[in-house]
Amino acid sequence: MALHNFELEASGSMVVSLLGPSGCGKTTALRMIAGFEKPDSGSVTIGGDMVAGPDVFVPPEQRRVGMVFQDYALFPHMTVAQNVGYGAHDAGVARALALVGLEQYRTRMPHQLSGGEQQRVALARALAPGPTAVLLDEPFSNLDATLRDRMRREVRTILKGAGTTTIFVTHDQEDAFAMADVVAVMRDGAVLQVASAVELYRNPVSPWVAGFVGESDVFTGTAAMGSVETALGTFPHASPLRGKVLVMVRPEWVHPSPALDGAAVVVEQEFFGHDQLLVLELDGTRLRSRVGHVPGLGIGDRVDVGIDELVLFAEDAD
Amino acid sequence: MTSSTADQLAPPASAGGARRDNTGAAPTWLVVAGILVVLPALIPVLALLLRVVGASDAAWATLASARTVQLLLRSIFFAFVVTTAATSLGVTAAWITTRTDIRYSRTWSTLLALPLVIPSYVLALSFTSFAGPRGLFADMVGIGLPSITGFWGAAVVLALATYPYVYLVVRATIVRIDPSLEEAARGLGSGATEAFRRITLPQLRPSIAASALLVALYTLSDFGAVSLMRVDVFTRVIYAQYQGRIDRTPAAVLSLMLMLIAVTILWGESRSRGRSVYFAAQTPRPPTRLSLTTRQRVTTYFFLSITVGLGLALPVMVLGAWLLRGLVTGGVIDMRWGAVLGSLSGSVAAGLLAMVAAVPVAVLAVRHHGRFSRVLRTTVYAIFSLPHIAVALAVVFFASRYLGGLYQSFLLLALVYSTLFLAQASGATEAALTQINPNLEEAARGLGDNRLNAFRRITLPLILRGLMAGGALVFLTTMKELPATLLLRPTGFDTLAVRIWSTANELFYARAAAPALLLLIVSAVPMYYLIIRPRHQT
Repeated sequence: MALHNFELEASGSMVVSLLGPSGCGKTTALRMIAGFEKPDSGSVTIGGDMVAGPDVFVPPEQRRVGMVFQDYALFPHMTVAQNVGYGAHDAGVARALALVGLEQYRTRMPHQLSGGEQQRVALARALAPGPTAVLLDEPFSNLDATLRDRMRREVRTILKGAGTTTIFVTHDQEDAFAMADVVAVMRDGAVLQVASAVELYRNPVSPWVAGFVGESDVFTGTAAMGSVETALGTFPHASPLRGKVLVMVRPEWVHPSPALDGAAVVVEQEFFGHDQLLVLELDGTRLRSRVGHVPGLGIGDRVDVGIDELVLFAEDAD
Repeated sequence: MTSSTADQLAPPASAGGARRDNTGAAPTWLVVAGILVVLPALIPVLALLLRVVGASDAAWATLASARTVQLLLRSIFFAFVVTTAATSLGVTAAWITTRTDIRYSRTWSTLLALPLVIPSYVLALSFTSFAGPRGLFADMVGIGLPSITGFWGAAVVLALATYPYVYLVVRATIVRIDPSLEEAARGLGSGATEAFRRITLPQLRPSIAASALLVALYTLSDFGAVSLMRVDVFTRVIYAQYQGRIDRTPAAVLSLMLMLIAVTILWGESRSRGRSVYFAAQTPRPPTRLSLTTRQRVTTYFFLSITVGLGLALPVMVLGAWLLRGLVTGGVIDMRWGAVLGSLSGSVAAGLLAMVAAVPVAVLAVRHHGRFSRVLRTTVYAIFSLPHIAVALAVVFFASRYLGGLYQSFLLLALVYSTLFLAQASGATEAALTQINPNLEEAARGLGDNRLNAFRRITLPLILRGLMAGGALVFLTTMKELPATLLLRPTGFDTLAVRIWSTANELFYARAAAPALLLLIVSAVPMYYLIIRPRHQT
């Protein structure tokens, strides 16, 4: 996957996530930073030094970047301590193993460890030489759901403890939101938006980003100063857009209230316990609503629709 | 040529697995190393080409002579007869062991593959020493069987020595074919034989064609059997020309012709292999086996017994009988330790050199796909498949003229062995390297190792087993090698293969028995584990 319009900056002990669907170029970007691939144009700068750019290419071994591979790539013929010590001195090994809490596993071989332990060894190995940055490629894709939750928290704590800049690649929005201070959303080789998780969720730059980082419904409306008129009613907004626009809402922003002469009809109802997902229909437009229990509400009932928040996009936005 | 050409049944279709491979051009030193390892064979062959083109008048005289045309026709006809016989034997054997309800089919399948471990000249020796007026049979029974030599005798020997290649390749394909295709044909009204002929056979055609071409190549390259049985085909005539004539241009021209034919066959083989398409079963299950009638059963067992009897039991028993006879009559066992030492030292040196040379070839093939690595790989396999007598002769010409002290040195011999058999070592190394996640090397580089250190500390320890298996294969093939040894050995250097061949050539059969049995034992066990068993698992 070729990259273009790829711009990203990270510093301090920031955790940055590169989030995008498979084939969007996020792994290519990571490998370019690590030095395993050469950019045709553009540049990569680490710690103030240009490592790749016009007439510059620093080989991976001189970049002081730690990489954690998707399959961990633990050296199968070396013990945990030998793996972690591969690029570091004894002091670094001890510190890194302490950081990941695996001091007692020094003499184990990689195949004797569980998936989560292997991941922590891989992380310790990357951290041991004291790198300027740590790169993680799909770090949680090999773990089952329960372990995944735990490892997200652990890995974030370890990385924050190490105080290194982290860039990690994932296609899973939950990974990105749980781990990252800043999320960069990628599509087709380009970075579309760089923002905190909250900002990304509440203010996506395009309908595609909105759909990629959560559930969203989009319908048309006409925007005027301060308010937008839609088939569901007129709602306030703070966007500079005027005229024909796309209105994006998320299910939990939509609140139906039962009304005999309501504009919309409940056509589907799915109950999850802590909440329920309703599908409302009006003039052929469908939108989802995630709400708690609403007494007496069922399929076929008419409702009025209240909207807490909305995002406007230009009519031709993608 | 010994049995090496087809030992590697076919080069792996392509190196590299589904993993992400290191992209980018190969480093220069790796490319240089890759070129260096094929030079010991490549330069002499090119020099031979130039020499023949340079001596155009004399070359034309040889080419155009009636004897050369006759030789060409005889060699091709010989290869055709052997290929037809070996293919029929191999396909029939594969069908019987996979599609009929014969008893002990697993035992039969192994026995049918075993003649693979017997070098062609040992098989030839056992045939010639069994029949004939001076043969073992005459000696024990008192009535001489007619001698088995010449064109048809050699054809039988080579067919028996080569049918296992067809058998193993075709058998491996048959067991992967979805049996429900044949069942569908049966449901549409075809009988068992018709269903096999119309449905299964067309799917087998590519593997039959590929293995038949390998047999043809082997036959054209064989030196041991045809020289012992005195058939004037290319290899024997080249050797005679080289030995007996002051002017060596005819030998050079004939060698070049032989290599050209070999390259043509190789090309055909690579094309036929590329086309193989068959429909493997989604969920493999055993096909229904044809129940034989009593009469068919008797015929089948007769066929199997004759094949295994002549290809495996006869040579082992004949050699054993000669050895016993030698022991009983107090005659010469003639176990020359010099020959054992020569075989061992030559094979060990060849194995070690090949292991070193295999590394750049394998790394280029697996980690740096591209035009260069493709050409290099093809060259390595082509050198492996060329008739060894022709390559060895090219080296003789080149070394005697330009290399002075190196000519007829142990070093040159070992170097030629290792280059001829490099494909075996690099193939095994490639297989091992494909198993290794390139991420491991990248991880090492990210931790501060340069390319070379990452290779030394991570990759090398992990591929060592494969590399050593490849070295072992080269060791074994070198043990059995005959024509290159005959042409290039230092004065006084002797090997088991040379001993067997020369004593058998002088009709001292009893003396050949002990070294032949030893060679058989040495090569049988590892051949079984390295080639027959892995290809034989159903």
